[in-house]
Amino acid sequence: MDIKRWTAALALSVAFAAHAMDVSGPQGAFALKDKPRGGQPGFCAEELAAALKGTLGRDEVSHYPVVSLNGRRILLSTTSALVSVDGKIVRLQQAPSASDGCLWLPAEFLTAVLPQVLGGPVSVKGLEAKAAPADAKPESKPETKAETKASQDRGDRVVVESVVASDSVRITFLGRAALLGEVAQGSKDVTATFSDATLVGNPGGLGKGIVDDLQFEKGGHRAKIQLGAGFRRFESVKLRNPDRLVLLFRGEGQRVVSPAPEPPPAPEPIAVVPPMTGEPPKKSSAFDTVVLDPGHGGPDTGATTVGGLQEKNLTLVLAQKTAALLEKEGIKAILTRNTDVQVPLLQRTALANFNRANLFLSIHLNSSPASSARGTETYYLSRNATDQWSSQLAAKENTADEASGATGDGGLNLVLWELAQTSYIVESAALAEAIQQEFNALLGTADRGVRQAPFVVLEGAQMPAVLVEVAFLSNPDEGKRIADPAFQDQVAAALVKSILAFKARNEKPQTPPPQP
Amino acid sequence: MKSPRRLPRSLELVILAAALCAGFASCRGKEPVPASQSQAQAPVQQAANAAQRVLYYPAGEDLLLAPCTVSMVPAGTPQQDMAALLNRYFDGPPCDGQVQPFLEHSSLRALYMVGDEAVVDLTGPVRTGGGSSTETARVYGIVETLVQNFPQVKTVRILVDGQEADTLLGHLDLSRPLVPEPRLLVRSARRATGEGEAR
Ligand SMILES: [Zn+2]
Repeated sequence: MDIKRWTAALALSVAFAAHAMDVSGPQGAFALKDKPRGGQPGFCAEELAAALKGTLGRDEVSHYPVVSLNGRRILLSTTSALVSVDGKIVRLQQAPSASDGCLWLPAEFLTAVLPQVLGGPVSVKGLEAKAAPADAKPESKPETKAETKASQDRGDRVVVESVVASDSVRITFLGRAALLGEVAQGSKDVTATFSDATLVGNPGGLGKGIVDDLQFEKGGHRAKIQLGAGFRRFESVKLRNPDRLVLLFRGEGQRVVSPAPEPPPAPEPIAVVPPMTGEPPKKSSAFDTVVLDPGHGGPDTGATTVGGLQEKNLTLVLAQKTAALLEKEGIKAILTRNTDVQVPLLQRTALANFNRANLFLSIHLNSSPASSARGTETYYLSRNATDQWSSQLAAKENTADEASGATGDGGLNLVLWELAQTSYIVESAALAEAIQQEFNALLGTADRGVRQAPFVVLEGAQMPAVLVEVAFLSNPDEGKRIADPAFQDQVAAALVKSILAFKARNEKPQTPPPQP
Repeated sequence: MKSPRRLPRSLELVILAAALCAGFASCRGKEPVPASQSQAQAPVQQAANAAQRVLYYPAGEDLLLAPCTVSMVPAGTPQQDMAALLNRYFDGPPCDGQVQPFLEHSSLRALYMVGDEAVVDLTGPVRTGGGSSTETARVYGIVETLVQNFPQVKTVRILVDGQEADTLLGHLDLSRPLVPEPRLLVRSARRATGEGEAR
């Protein structure tokens, strides 16, 4: 066998071997077919469930896909890279996707999620070979038209659009794989390379000056943007919903300052040790558990008073005092943090979900540029924002269904799992109203009214959830008052009173009507 | 030491400009034109084709967003108009009783449209401060100002220094596009903008 043919045979065998991932973990070894999507290796959840004698189903409330393995519950969404393992959140690099009867999961799932479910390390072989560049194919074999089409179908498509203004040209690459694009700037051009996706679109009419030309190269995997004489600077940004890479080429006369420096890598979230290990607690339908969330913590101090008191410390004291009073009332109170640590916002809600709390209450202290501002503001999640997100999502999923040929009932009727709160809006509004009234009386202030806005910490709560801004730290009087332990006791008592009123209201329909 | 200190050159220019302005009424229009590309326009033209725009700042006891009308000279493209209006926003409220929710040196870094979404890239101390009240005022001051003035803007996405931010001050979700929140507007503005009461 001559060297060339031997190399080609080796390359083919590597390519063949790359179609399987050998997974080994606490429950033994098994193989999964590699199904790369958007340039990322991955596999079908159905295959994983079968290999580990688990099941793939739907969550009853949210209709999100649920993989049950080893007695653990993994909640997934095709629009979010967040995965919930018994309420604990794991963030993947890429969201799952569904088409052709396959709920696709990125290979990263095997090492990031599976060890938590199986209770031990998981190793994967076969990913290294797949990672070889796409052009490592034996060059002696010319690609046929059918094969080209097949390879295009395997990868994602990235749609290229452009908008030309008098002083700028914006080129947008749309599609999931756009987020994997690599941008490089040369002296006369800028290139955007998408190694496992094919560029489509006809972004003509770029004019002359800032950008002179745009061409697809490397079999449609690379866009080369020829810079014109009027070009001054360019910026690139990757955005989600929809996934896209935006290149903005600017000409002269811009007020805009130079592109931002790369931000330092985000610090690892400080680990919190909430009671989220093992089985979720068994719960009756009784109202017996409340999760209290002291706002901010760790390096995130929140608002401060003129004297330097910090929101994070005051909210912790208020939550602890409220918890003690709730326990006296026979209601279990769980705090999202009990010390001065930073807890990711999503994890706070996840803790409430895991413990199947009846209510989630995030406690904050307010601040305003107007130092005269005073009183309590109680917020619940905004319907406007969530409706907007849901409709965007629905449009996105319809498109995905159409593209994959999925039928209506077979398609994924998902809502963002972060938006679980939408089912509890009415109860949350009632709870917010109860708290607001209680605090108007306590502080003796004019009603600032219950408000709605898209709060991160409320979005994922699968129970009535509100955020209360007890008082204004920026107001000299209220800032002083909230530091007084006696007043803190009053605040805690007011919160408990509101919670008990809400409990009574909710338990009412369950009590049998009095017999005549 | 007694000899008079020479004024800094920039201050000299300001004084010179003020002296010249004193002779021309057009320099003292009801509302100042924002510091933006539109400054290049001649003052006479400004008065002729100025458009009425509405800025939304927190006002009153409850700090709900209240409208404040200014006249702005078209800056060119709608995108430039939007940028000019936000630049004007960062200069602070010209109407009485309103407050500026942003700290000094906060500014617009870039603005562009993606479909019907305005992407607003902020820079400066926009993440400094605290309180949901401040955060909602900053975020929705911008959202309302853009959506109410430019019908082509349906949603607004906020970036900080070119990057997506989870929140500005630890409360509001900025990872997704934002739509107006009628309950954050003063009641009269809810009616004026045709936005109903929140559900
Ligand atoms: Zn706060």
